[in-house]
Amino acid sequence: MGFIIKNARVYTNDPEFKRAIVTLTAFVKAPIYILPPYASFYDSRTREPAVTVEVRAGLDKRLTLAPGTFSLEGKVAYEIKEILEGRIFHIRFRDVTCSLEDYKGYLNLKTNYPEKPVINIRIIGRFLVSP
Amino acid sequence: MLLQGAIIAVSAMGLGISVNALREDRLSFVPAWSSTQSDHGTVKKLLIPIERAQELFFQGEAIFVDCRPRMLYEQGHITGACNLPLDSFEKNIGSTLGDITPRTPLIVYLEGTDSTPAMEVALKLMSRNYRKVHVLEKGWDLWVANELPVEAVLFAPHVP
Repeated sequence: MGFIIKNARVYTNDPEFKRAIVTLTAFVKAPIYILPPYASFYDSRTREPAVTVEVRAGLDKRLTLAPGTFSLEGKVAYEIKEILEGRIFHIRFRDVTCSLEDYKGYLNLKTNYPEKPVINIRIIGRFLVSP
Repeated sequence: MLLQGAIIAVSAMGLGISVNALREDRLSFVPAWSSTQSDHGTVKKLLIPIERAQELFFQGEAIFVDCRPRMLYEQGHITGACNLPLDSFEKNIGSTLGDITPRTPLIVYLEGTDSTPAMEVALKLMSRNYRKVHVLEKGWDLWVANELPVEAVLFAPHVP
C-alpha cells in the first residue's frame, strides 16, 4: 500500500552509457493506511514509553474505528485518538511491563468500511540485543 | 646533499600540485569511485548484513540514511534514520549530514533487493570523506520483514 519503488538494473551496448537504473514509482491505493507498518518498542536503555501508529482513511468517506481483539493485555495499553475527523486516527501504545522479555502481538480494530472491516496493527517489543 | 635532495623533491611536489591545480582536467588526490569499480566487486565490501546492522542499531553506534523519496520516508523508516533522497542528494547532504563526523558509521538503505542505487549513494558519501559507509543488504524490505524498529512521520494538526 502507499508509495512503492522498484529499481531494475539494465545494461546497454553503448560504451558511453554501459549501465542504467530504471526506477518505477507507483502508488498502491488502499482503503486504509497504517503508518508505520507496525508498532515497535525496543532497547531498554532508550525505551520509549509510548509509540504511535497512524491510521488514515484512504477512501472518500468518513472512517470510524472501534476496538476489537487485543492480544497484549497487561503488557501494552492503548488509546485511540481521532486527529482529523473521520480521516486520521492516532493509536497510542504504551508499554506497561517493566521486564525485558520480548513480546509480539496485535490489535484488531473494527472499521465501518465494508472494503476493510477489520484492520490489524502488529505490536513488537524487542528489548534484547542479539548476541 | 640530503638537504638539496629534499629541496628538489619538495619543489617538484609543489610544482606538480600547482600545475595540476591549473589543469582543466585536474587529477583527483582521492581516486574517484565509479560504477565500473562496483561491477568488479570492489564495493561489495560495503554490504552489511541485517544481523550486523541490527547490532549497530541497538548499540546506537550508526546513523541510518534513508535514501528513498520523502513520501516513502514519511510512511515509515528505520527508527532514527535521516532522509537523504537519491534525487536531491547534492542539495540536501549538507543539511542532513552536516553535523555528522566522517568517522561515524553510516548505513545507507533503499527499497528492494537490488543494492546498486544504494551503492551509488554510499560511494558518493565516501567521496565526501565519510569513511565508514555501509549499505544495508536488501534494505528497508528486509528490515521490515524482520520486524525491527520503525517509525513514521505522523500527521500533526495545525494549532493556531
